[in-house]
Amino acid sequence: MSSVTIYVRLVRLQVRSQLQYTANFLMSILATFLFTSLDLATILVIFSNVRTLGGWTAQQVLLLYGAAASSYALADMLLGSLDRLPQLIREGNFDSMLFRPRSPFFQLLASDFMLSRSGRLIQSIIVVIVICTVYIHIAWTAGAILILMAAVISGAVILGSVWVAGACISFWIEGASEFVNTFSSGALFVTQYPINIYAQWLQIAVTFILPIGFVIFMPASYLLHKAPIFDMPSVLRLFSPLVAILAAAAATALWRLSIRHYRSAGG
Amino acid sequence: MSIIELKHVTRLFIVRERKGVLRREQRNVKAVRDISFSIAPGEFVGYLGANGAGKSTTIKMLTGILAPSSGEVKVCGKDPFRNRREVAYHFGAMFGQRMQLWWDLPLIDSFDQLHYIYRVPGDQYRARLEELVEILDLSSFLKVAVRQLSLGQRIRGELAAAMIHTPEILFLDEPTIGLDLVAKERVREFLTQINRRHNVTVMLTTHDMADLERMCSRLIVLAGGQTVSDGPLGELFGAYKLERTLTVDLSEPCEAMIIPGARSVTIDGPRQVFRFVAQDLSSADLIAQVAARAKIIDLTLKEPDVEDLVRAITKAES
Repeated sequence: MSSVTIYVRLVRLQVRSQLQYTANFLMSILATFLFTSLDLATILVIFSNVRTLGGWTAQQVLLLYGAAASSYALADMLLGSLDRLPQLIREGNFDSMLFRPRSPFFQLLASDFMLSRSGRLIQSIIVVIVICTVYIHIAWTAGAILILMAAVISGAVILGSVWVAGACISFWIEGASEFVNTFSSGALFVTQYPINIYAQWLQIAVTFILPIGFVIFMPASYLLHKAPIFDMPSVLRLFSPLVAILAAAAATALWRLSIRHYRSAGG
Repeated sequence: MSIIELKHVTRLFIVRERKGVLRREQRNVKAVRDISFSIAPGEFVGYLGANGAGKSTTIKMLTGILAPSSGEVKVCGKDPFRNRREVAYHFGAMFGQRMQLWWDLPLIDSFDQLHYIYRVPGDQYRARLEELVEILDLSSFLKVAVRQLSLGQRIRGELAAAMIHTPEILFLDEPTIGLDLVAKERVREFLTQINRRHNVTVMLTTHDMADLERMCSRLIVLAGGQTVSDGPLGELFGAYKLERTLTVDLSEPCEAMIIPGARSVTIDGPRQVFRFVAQDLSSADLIAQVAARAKIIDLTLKEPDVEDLVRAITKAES
């Protein structure tokens, strides 16, 4: 059995126990759903004052929001347990994941799986479908669905890699949890709007350093015929799957290095 | 053939200290220095030392969590840090207050998860679980979420969790801490049983004297990161005469009493404290002699504890 099979088994057990309290479960899905709708409301408020944002119309920004939030929600469902890492390290409980004969990474991911995180995923997928069908009149061909899914999954992998890198910091610096949180919520905010509205330095940072610009924004700006930022070759913006692979490889290397550096709490 | 072996093992930690606004100083602290010992299969070893003596660091090196800075660590013939996952099948571990069980899941689900993690074949797992449930008497709370268990129930659950994959070695850090007497007895009975019946090698740290007396055949004592003593339990107990402490509250302040075999340690108003060795003077005798001289209102008798033992050994050996 591989680490992934183990992950699926461990997650299944937790899902089963979470489903035992049906009312509680449905309530928490609804709560996430409503809470994330506030992001949507923010966008609508902005567009009641301006007609375009960085050259993007309300519908286009809503599409960007929906798809980027889908990436985020997908990454959050799979990697949400990373939030616990600083606490696990501080209290010494990460040790028990190290002395079991399995990948500590997958044990960590499976340690706090919450099905209720799917509330955000459902909400953002609905936004994407509604906007695409009603305003952009997309023909739901297999090709269109494939492109959209590839963009969302690549986006999730890029975001996830950035989080893993952020989580690794807690192996090196004690009490870095705030930093890790900033990574995850900050990344979501940045990816929901057209990146060309931000300051130059931030545009550079999210394109070349932490490539979260490739989470939906780059492919979307290509598909919607926007001018590329930094005069980059236009088609390069479709390379988010490649960026995702590179980011995942870098995050994996950093994780391995950090685990070897780990020195465990409490002498 | 030894199942656990340490040869000249040293572990350094780099400690960074703030000196002024920007200046930082690095210092190497030796948590463990040049430790060597080996443990044979089936031994039940008490691993003792004051806080900071290097016990946890040693256990972490044995379980593959930390690498030694120098020297050689072998568990079942392999380097546990380099072969972490391989060696993991051979030992179980329980670190006192640290949780291994899944907090929100029923106890039985934690066992199920471990059964997958350790690749225990289904029929072997069921037989093992049945045995553990019986010896540790878990049946009444198997389906209860771990967060709702009492401490005693949880510790029993943790012990079963550490044993589910039938390891040859068990590392235990304070397994009885915080338990009431009945629960402690149950845990000790279980550990003695698996040691005798299944020849499981146990290495245990504890602050409880009865844990040592009831279970351990050998003691290794650490101080300042070094082994100061290593030998059979009976020999060590014989070599270091440990003192009991008698505290008496008299009806009125009284002069220091001279009683052969006991030494008067403190006199605080009507309260007097004596220390004495059980082999030289029985507590009944001492109390009778005090009572003959003054009226006793209240008294407490304290048996020597593990700290006393460690202190006595450390003092004698350094």
